[in-house]
Amino acid sequence: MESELIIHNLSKTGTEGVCLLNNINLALPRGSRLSVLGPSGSGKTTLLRMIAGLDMPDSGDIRFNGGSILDIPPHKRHFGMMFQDYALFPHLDVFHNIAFGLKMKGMPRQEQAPIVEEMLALINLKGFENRKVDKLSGGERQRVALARTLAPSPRLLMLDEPLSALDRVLRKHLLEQLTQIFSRLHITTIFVTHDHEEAFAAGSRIILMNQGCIVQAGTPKDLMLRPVNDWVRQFMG
Amino acid sequence: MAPGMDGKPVAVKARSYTHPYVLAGLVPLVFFLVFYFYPLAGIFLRSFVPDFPAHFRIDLSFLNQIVESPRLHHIIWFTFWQAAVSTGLTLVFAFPCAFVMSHYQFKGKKFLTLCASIPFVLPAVVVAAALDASFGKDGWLGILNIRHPLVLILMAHVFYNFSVMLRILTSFWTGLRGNIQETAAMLGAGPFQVFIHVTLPLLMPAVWAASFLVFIFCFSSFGIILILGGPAYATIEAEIYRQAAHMFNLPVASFLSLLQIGFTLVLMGLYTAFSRKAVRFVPKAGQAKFKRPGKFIEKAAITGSFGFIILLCLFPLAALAGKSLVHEGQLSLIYYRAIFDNPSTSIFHIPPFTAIKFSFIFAGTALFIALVTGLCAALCLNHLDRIKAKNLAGFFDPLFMLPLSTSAVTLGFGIIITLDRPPLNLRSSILLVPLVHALVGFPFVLRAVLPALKSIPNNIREAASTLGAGPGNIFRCIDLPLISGALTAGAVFAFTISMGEFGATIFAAGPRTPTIPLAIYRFLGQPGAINYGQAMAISTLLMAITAAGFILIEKISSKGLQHF
Amino acid sequence: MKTYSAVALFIVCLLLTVPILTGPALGRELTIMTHDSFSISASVLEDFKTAVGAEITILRSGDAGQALNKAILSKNNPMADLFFGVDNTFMGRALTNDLFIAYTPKGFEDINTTLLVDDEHRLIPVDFGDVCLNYDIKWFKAKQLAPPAGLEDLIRPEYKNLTVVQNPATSSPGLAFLLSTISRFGENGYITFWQNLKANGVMVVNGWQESYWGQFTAASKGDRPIVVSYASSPAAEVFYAEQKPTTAPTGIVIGNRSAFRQIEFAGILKNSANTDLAKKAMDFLLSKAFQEDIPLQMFVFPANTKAMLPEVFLKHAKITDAPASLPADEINQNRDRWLREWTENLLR
Repeated sequence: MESELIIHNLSKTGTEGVCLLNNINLALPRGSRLSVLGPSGSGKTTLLRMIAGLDMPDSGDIRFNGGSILDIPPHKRHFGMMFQDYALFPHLDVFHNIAFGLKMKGMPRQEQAPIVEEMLALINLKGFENRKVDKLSGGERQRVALARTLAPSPRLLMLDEPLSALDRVLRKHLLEQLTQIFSRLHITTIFVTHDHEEAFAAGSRIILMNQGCIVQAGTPKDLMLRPVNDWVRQFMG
Repeated sequence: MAPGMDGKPVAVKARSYTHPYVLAGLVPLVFFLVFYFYPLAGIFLRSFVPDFPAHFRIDLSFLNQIVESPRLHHIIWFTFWQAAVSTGLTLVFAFPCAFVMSHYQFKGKKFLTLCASIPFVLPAVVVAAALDASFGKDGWLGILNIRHPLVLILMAHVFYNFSVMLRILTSFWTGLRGNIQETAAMLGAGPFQVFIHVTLPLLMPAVWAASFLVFIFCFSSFGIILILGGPAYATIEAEIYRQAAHMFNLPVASFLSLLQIGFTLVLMGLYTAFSRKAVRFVPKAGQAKFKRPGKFIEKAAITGSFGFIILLCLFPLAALAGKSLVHEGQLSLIYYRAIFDNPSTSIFHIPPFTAIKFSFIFAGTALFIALVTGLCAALCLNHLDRIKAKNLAGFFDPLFMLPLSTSAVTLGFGIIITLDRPPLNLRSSILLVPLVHALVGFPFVLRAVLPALKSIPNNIREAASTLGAGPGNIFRCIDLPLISGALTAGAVFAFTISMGEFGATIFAAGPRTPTIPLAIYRFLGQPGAINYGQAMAISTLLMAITAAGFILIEKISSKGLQHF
Repeated sequence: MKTYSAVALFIVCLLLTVPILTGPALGRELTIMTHDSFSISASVLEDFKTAVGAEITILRSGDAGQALNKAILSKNNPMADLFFGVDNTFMGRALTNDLFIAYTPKGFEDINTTLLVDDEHRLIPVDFGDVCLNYDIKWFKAKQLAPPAGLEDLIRPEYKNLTVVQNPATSSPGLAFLLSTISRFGENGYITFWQNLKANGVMVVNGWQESYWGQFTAASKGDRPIVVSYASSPAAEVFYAEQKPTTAPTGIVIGNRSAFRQIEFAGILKNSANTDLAKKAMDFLLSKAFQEDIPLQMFVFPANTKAMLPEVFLKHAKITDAPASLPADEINQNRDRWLREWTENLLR
C-alpha cells in the first residue's frame, strides 16, 4: 500500500544546540490512525507543527501523496490541526468559527450552512450556532474546535493534546466521542498525547518519542509487551 | 524508510519569503525618512553649513552669538526652571487628590475622573484662551488682577498637567493597595509607618515617572508661552519660533532646535526608565477595593478634592464658554454667528469659517495617513517581535516614538526649510500640513494599536492558516476585526491631535489654509471686542470638539488613556 | 459591530479628504501678500479687480517683519504674486534674498523722487509716512503734565510707565522708531537710552495694532498715553471721532529729528505664476484711484505726487521737513545686529 504521508530524516536543532528532532522517519498509509506518545519536550508538538507547515525543519523531507510539501505554505496544505488550547476565534460565534475553513475555500454562505449543521450534529452541539465562544465550557470548546478542523474536509488530521485541558471525567467521555468520530471518517489521523491510555485508545499504531527521537514504534501490544528498553518499560508503567 | 523519488535523500530548501507584514513596515519607515529625518538633517545643515548646497562651508560663527548672549542663556535656564516649578506645583496639588481617588469610592467618582482628564486633551491654544477668559483683563476673575505673565504660565501648566499626574499616581497607588500594605500592618506597622516605609518607596518610581512626563510637557510648552507670556518670556521652543519667524536668524533657530531635541531625548529616556521601574514595583494596576468614607476627616478630604478638581478643571473652561456667549453684558450668539458669516472685506485676518473648514479637512487627512502608517508599523513591529527578531524590533520601536519627544516647532521649522525645493517640493502642497499632523499623531496610533495586536494569541493565526487562510486573509479576518477598537481609538486620537496642533502648524500652514488654533492665536493677538469674542467662540468650539473626541476614545478603548 | 463602526469612520475620513482632491476655482486669481495693517475700501477693491481682470485675494500674514520672513522662507514656492508692505527698514533683507523681479509700472514718473530708493525698480514706493511718538492730549491735561517734547523726555521719572512701543523685529514702525533712536543717539548711545527706557517702565508689544488699539489711552481702554505711531495718526483720530473736533485729540513729537521717514514698497514676487496680473496690479497701486484711497485707509501719505489729499489730512496730518534717516546700506548691514542687541537688552 502506498504510504500517504512520508517523513524522511527530519531533523531540527533548536536554540543553544538542543536537539528538537533527530532524524525522524515515518510512513503513514491512508486512513491510518497514528498516536504520537511521549513526555513533554520529546518533540511531538514540533513534529506536528512541521507537518502542518508552521515550522520548518533544518534537514529532511516531508512528502504527501508522492510529492514534497516543504515548499507549500500552511494555508495551502489542506491539513487540519487542532491546537492544545483550541485557539477558537474570539470575535466569531460558533457558526462562523466552524465555517471559517469553508469561507477560506471561497464557498458561498448557502453552501456553508448545511456542512456546519452536519458538523454540529456530529459533535452533539445542535443549536449552538449563535453562541459566543467565550460562553462555552471547556468540553464544548474542544468539540467546536474539532468541528472547525473537520468542516473543510482536510486531507490529514492532526490533534495536539486535545484533551489535556479538560478534567478527568470529561477527558474519558470525550475520548470515546473522538474515537467514534475517527472510525466514522476515514482521514489519516495523528493524535499527540503524553497519556498512554489515550494513545492506545486513539491510534492503531503508536510511536513513542523521547528527546527528539523515535524510541519505539509499533502496535499498543508491542509497546506493552515488548518494550525496547527500560525507559520504555518505565514510561508505560 | 522511503527515500526521494530518485532514490537520493532530498535536501531541504528553507522557505525564505518575507512576510507581508514585514514589508508593511516599509511604509512608516519611508514616511519617517522623508518627513522626520530629512527635515532634521536640514536643520542640522542649516545650523552648521548655512550655504548648503552652494558651498560646503562649516560656519560656526553663530555660536558666538549664542555664547555671548546672556539672554539666550537665560532662556535656556528659564525653560528648565519654569518646567521644574510647574511640575512641583502640579505634584503638590495632584498628590493629595490621588490619595483620595485611589482609596475611596464615592458618588460622582467617575464624573470626577472624566472632569479631571479633560484639560489635558485640550489644545494649548484653548488652554491659553481659557486662562485668559478667567484671569485676563476682562476675565471672570479679572478683578484679582493676576496680570503677571509668569503666574499665568504656571497656572496654565498646572491646569494642563494636573490630569496626567493625577491619572498616573492614582493608577499606581490603586495597584499598590491591598496585600502589601495589609501585610505590613500585620507585621506591626501603624498607618503612618506603612506610608513612610512601604507605600512611599514603592510609589516613588511612579512619582518620578509622572514628574518627568509633566516636566517634558512643560519643557516643550509652546502655545501657552507664546500666548500668555508676551514678548519678555520665552522658552527654547518659543525662541526657536521667534528666531525663525521674527528675527530671521535661521542658524540660531536651527541650533536651538538641536538643543531642544537633545534635551527632550534625554528627558524621555529618564521617563522611560522610571516608568519601567514603576511597573516593576506595581505590576497590577487597579485591583484594590475602595473604601466608603466613614470618618468626618475622610469626607472632608473627599469634598475638598472634589471641589478643587472641579474648580481647577472646569472653571477656566466655563469661563471660556461664558465669555463666548456674552456680548455687552447679555447672552448672545453674536460671536458664533460672526464665525459663520464670511465677510469678503475681512476685518478679520483669518476668516474663521475658512479656518474651521481647513481644520476638519486636515484632521481627516491626517487621521487617514496616521492610521495607515501606524497600522503598518504596528503589524511590522508585532511580527518582528513574534519571529524573535528582537534586535530589529528593539531598534524600530523607540525610533517610531521619536516624534513624541521632538518638539512640534522643530518639526514644522525643519519641514519648511527642507521641503520647499526639489527633490521634495511640497511647500505649496495642501498635503503638507496633514503630513506634519500625521507625523505628530502617528506615535499615538502606534501606541494604541500595538498592545491590541500583541494581545492576539499567535495560535489563532496559526489555526487560521491551517484552515486555509493566507497572510491576506489572516489580516482581513483575524487581525483587523480584533484590533478594530484600538484602531478606532487611534483614529480619534490622530484626529483630535491634528485639530489642536499649533507648534508645527504655525510654520507649515500657509496664509491660505489656516487652522482653528492659528485663528485663535491671531485673534487673541488683535485688540478689540469682536476679535476677542471671536477668539473665545472659536476656542469654545475647539474645546467641545476635542472633549468629544476624548470621551469617544474613553468609550471605545477599555482601558482608556493608559499611562504611556 | 465594531468593525462596522471602524469602516464607517474610515469612509467618513475619506469623504473629508475629497475636498482636497477637487481642483482650484476656475478663473484667474491674483494674490497679494501683505501685513495686517493693509486696508482698502470696498469700491476701490472692485476697481482693482476690474483693472487686473481677475479675483483678488489679500493674505494678511502678520506684522511687516513676520510677513516678509514668511515670504522669504517660501520664496521657492511663493504663496502670492505681489508683496505689499516692505518698507525702507526691512528693504535690505528683502533685496538680499532676491525676492522680486524688476518692473517699471505706469505712473512711475509721478512718484515723489525722494522716495526712489531702489535703482533697479524691484521695489516700487507706494506710500510713506513719518514714524514718531504720539501722545494723548486729554490725558496729559488731566494729569497736568507737559506732554513729551523729545525722545529724552521718555526716560525722565515723570514719564514712568507711560510709553508703549512695538517689537522692532516684527513691526515696521517699531523698527523705524529704533532706527530713529540710533540716528539720534548714535551706535554707542542708543542702547543706554533703551536701557533707561526699560528702567522707566516701557511696554513692548508685538505689533502696531496691539499697541495703538490695545494700549494707547486715546484709542483703547489701555493705560499708556504715549505710543509709537505715525505723524498722520492724529488725522485718523479726527476722522473717526463721532463729533469732529477742530484740533486733533492726539499730538506728535517730530522736532529735533525724532521722526523717522518710512517708505512702503510693493514688489512682484519672483517665481509667481501670474506675473502679468501682478504687473497690472502694480500699475493700479500707483494709479490715482488707489493712491487717493490710501490716506483714509492706512493713514499714510501717497507716493504719487498727483494724488489729492483729503481735507482732514491737509488740516491735521503732518509731514516732517527734517526727518531722521540713516543710509540704506548702513541699515542693511547692521539691522540684524541692532535687532539682536535690542532684543538682548529689552526682552529679558
